[in-house]
Amino acid sequence: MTYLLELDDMALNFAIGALEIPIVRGIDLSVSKGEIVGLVGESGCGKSVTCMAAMGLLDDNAKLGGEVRWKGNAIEPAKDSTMSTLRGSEMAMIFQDPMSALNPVKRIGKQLMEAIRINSPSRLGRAALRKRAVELLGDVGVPEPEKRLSAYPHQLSGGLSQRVMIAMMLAGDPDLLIADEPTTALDVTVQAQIMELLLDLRDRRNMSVILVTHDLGVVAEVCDRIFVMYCGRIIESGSVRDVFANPRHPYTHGLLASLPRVDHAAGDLSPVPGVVPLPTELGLGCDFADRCSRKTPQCESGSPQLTVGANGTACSCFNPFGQQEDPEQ
Amino acid sequence: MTTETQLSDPLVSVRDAHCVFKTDQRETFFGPAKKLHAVSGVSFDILRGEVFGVVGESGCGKSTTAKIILDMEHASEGTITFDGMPLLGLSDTDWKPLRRRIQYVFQDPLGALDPRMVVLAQVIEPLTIHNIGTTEDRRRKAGEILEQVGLRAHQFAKFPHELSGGQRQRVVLARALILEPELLVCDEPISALDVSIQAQIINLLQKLRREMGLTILFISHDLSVVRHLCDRLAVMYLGKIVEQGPADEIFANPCHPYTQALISAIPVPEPDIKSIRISLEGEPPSPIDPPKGCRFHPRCNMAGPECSAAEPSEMTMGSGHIAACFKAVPKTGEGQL
Repeated sequence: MTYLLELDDMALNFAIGALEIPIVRGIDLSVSKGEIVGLVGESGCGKSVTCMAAMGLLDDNAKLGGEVRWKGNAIEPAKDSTMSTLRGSEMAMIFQDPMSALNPVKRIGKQLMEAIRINSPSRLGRAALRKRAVELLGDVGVPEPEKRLSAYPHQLSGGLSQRVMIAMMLAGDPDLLIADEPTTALDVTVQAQIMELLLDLRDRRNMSVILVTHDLGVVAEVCDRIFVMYCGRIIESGSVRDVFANPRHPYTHGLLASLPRVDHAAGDLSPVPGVVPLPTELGLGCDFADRCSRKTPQCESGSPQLTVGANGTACSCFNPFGQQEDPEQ
Repeated sequence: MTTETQLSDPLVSVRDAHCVFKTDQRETFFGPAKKLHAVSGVSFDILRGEVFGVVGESGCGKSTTAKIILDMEHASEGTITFDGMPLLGLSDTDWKPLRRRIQYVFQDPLGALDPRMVVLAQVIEPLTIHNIGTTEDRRRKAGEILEQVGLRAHQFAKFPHELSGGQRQRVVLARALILEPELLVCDEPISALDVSIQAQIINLLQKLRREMGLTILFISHDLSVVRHLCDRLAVMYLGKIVEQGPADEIFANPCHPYTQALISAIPVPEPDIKSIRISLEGEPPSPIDPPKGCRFHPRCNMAGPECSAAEPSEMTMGSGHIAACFKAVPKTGEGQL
């Protein structure tokens, strides 16, 4: 099977002065057509830069290693010439804060029509551009789309601005949407609306989505597969159902145990102790060893490899939770 | 009132409090400035030793509600009492001894700490301001409280930028708790933190509450956190409390349609549970021109003609459980059915 987007042993080093700091350290990630994939991790684990790198949005000081493949062909995301044909029409990205992604001094209509014009193969007239803009806004559930065209971004609420961003993204009719924490800045009821919209777009257009988030609840509701990142590595991946039912890596397991849940009564939570190490503090052993409850001497000396299990779930741990073992014990 | 309030007397009592801000918008060009009713008539009690939660979406007035208790914003109407003492209209000198008894923890710990002061000095400062103990005492006490919130001695001489988000929030908590307050107001204290760190701070708050007998007013937009921490809670929408009562009771039997929608909107980290979502249309309207009648009726899926005509009054749904909705049905066997 060919994947839509494939990251093969992708690594990212940031050059800061004379130093080269490894931020992403060899990750494999794949998305197929019509699939929603969740990329999960805490701040600083490298989930956003991974997506930025795949879109070719990073500065020159980022050194990319490994291979990125689009529909089976290797591409160079750092090269503008290749990316300008892909960005917008093949893959598109939306960001956490829609307010700062929109130009504050231009009307919504103008920004939307610009996106349509750039992505359209033929030259469209003003009336045609406007008609398409209204269609797109209607498509993403903006009420009174005609009227909204003349609004400035500050006149829209957070949820509406994110819908406008999604409409701009749809202008190129891309195959893949990378959504970087699209609902983190929004209220829960609005978050639910945006998630429904993403699911709806996937169903109607067979669009693939990479959803970057720190919210495991969101992943459980909308994603098909999940990739858990920690310190620039993927430490566990698999179908959402398998990983949530049987988290094998102690970090994934700890994250799920530390979540306060609305469907459970009060009580003490079991948090993951300690803090995420800095990229400069990483040693030879497993990155999670210092915070891990299942540490063995082996974990101090070597770094575990991601190994694929029977049902397609992969986990990088010397001493993972077993398939049959009750994680509560 | 309920038997609960008779057993333990309220530490804070808020009755029909309003808070109004002037805005830049005007009715007409030379007309009067439009007013924004951030809080319009809220009433609640915070009982001694409990954690009282206030939840709602952004802009619903939950932070302003906390701030009017501390006089950080001025309530324009209503009464607020702390330990039986009326708070509104107190002078700054009258407030100073009270500040010791009520402390506030903000959302962003980096913004709340002085970037040029080391941890230990930040925690000593409140003691200096309130003139408590000798220099030696203050130093010892600050060390003790920092250890109690889970920091180690080698971190005492660090600056805020050298600490992680969770450690900073621990410093902020230590600084608030060193005065041994009776009431701790926490305004979204964990929203800026990572998931695994959030759980650490929630557990710390629960531990401190047990050890120090704190009363906590906990402001949050996250219902799952509130569920874990709070004994009783109030749900706010557009400046009004739409439902309040014991936390277990509200989560088991939410009566107001807004509370029901809010609870159903929370994603549950279990792929096999597909929650039945009550989806809300649109977003909360502006508090400058709130809708007539019930403020929630334009987004409510149960709204009838009476909802746009008049504002619903609070109705008893169960023991200590009240909701402001015409359509809310009291639990069978309780209330006045």
